[in-house]
Amino acid sequence: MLPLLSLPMLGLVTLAVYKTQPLSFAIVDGDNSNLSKTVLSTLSQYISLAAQSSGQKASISIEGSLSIALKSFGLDYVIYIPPGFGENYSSLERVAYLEGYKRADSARADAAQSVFYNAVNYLSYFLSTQRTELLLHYANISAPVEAILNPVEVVQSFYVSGGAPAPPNAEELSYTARMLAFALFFVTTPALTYMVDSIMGEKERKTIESLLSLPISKKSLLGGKIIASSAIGIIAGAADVLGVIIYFYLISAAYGSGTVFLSPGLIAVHSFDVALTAFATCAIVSPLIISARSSRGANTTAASVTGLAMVIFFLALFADISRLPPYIYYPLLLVPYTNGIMVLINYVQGSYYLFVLHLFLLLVESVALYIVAFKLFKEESLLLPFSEEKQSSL
Amino acid sequence: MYHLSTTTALKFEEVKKSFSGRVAVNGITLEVRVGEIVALLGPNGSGKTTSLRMAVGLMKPDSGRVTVFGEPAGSEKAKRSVGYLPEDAGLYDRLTGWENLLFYAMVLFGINKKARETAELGAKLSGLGKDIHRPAGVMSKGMKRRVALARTLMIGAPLLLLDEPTSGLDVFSAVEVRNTVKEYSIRTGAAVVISSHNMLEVERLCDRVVLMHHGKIVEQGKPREIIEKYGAGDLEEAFVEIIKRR
Repeated sequence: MLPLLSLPMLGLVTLAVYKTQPLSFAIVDGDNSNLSKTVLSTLSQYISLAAQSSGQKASISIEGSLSIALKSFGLDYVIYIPPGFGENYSSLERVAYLEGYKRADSARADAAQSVFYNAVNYLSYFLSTQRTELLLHYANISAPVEAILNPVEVVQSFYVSGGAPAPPNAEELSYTARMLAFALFFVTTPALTYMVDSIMGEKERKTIESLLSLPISKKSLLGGKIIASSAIGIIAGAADVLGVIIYFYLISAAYGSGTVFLSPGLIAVHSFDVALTAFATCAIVSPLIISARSSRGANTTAASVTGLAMVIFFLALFADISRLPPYIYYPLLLVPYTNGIMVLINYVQGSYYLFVLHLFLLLVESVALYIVAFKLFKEESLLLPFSEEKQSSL
Repeated sequence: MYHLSTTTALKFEEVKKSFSGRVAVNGITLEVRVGEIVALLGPNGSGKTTSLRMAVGLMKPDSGRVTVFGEPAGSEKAKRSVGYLPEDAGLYDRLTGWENLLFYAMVLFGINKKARETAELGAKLSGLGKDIHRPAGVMSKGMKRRVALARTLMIGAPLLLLDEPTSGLDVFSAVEVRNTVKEYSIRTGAAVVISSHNMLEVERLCDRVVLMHHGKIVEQGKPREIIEKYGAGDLEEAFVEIIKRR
């Protein structure tokens, strides 16, 4: 349950820091010409504008010399207008250079650099427009400046697999599906923890022998343990998933990147996915725990399964699994987690045939793992797991 | 009293069991009749616990056959006839004694009136009074053992398998446990097999003694007969004498 509290808190703190901490610039005019003074003023306005457009604030100071500016504490980026800038700026034949000094040890320097480059783009576009208008005037040609400066433009449209136009929010849904697929990782950890405790805990409490002596079938006993651990995994996992969603929502708001968008259908598919992932996790780990020779062995086994889950769920975040080479893709499909990811991805892509196929594979693998767990369930393994006990209890 | 079609509650026929090449039980043949209280005696590692576990069905014999009222040990039907108290029978510490009893009754009978009645019988059998509602984690070892025994007895099984039921208990607790077992056997006519190191307990409680050594039955009979056969003062002396001769 901790991620439900800690992740939104982390997101809120990140958002608050991001919004309240301005990007700090200093501009030094080394040219001191009338034109450079005008450019300095324009550049300051463009920097403020570029910062605002990305949801940030910029603080700009004017310093007398470059050495003083570089020694100033708390700056992210220093802009130097070198001597001769004004002359180059007003010439048709020369490039006017600005010098940028990025503070290497500042966490905000990347964002400051990005804002500065955007501002320079505005400035450069403004100057290009002026120079083009002047050249057109000299050449006595009448043409739109836009057609010369941006002769090729892109008209962006969205579509989904199969060629149909993408429905509204398709991009956001796809982003959210990747986040949700990654968040499945948070289902595996509580399910694993409870599964280890439900078997090794019985042994440590010395209740396992009495329990096994009862006239209940192995199927009922193991099924009960897996279903109970899955249920707890689902509850704890659902809370953790909620925490992850809130975290990504806040981070999206802070950085202005992809946006989280949940539809009722996606929530339903994800809930089912969470349940099957928890069940598959318990089924994967139970035969390994049963045959573990010690609590440490069982915990190591659980950690190994966590590691496997982490690798696969991280893939969902950064890779398009379906386009991996066949020698990686098909072996990955043998792991239920991969199909859990593909269920979500195919659902939001509208590939319902593949959605059903991966859902079926996930179900079959989960049930198959449960059957394997049941087949490997041996009372003797649970009664004599520790070698030191083996000798004394004969 | 049970009205059973057979008078044999438990039967071992040429049963062998070994672990990683080490022989634990080496071809034992034994029959326990309804209403009989039998003690399994023997040094540590003589095969007593393994024999009991095979009778419950927790372990499978490598060869030979174990049956409970004619049914293969470990089958659901056989398990329904067995009340088993392991040597280290634990309780769920966070649950009260009562909740421990109710949990087992619910596992057996489901969430219904019968489960509640069974747990109530268990609470009565434990003799703990109001203390049954204390968390098991704060109970003394003797109290825990009485709850564990009550859990075994409450289901009314016609065959009790008790692995060192009084181990680690003080004299008073041990006497209470012995009395409870004796009363249960007389009241229900159940067969009881007790694994024990306590010779006094065995002498007073049991109708028959089975002595195991290195996985084999080396002697069996009524306590008094064995004492006389070896010219010993008591069962403990006879026990030492038998082991020495082996």
